[in-house]
Amino acid sequence: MKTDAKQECLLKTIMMYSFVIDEIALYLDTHKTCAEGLAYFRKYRDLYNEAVKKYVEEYGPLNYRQSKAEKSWDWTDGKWPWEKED
Amino acid sequence: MNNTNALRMPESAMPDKLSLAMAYVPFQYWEKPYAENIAFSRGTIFQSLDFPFIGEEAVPDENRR
Repeated sequence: MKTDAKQECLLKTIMMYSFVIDEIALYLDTHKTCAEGLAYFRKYRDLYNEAVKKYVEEYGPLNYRQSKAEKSWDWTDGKWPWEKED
Repeated sequence: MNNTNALRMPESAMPDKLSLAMAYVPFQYWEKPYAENIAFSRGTIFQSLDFPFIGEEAVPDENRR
């Protein structure tokens, strides 16, 4: 399964959302009732879940818990992360 | 501490007189975060926490070996 540009871009978006969620989680640890912070978290949590859902539907599981595991163990079907086109 | 009321300023947030030998970290206030792509490259969502390591530029020329 060739990793196309669209897949790379979606994966990067997932990483970006994942990063900002980690950041806001650290802030909210010390600012439990900050309305802006909570709204920011909810926004990117939803964006993140959406992007992951889209990625998994289109390109397969990102972690093995997302495997369909119907006909075969699809977790190992895709390219390994280190298998890059040269 | 599970205070559920509005964002209450902890008393220690802005002590008027800082005491000797006690470290003090100012309380962080909300600010508009960087856009997520900027945040991703800067390594933080908050501009006021964006401290790039500037290495030897920080050392005035005469002090450099």
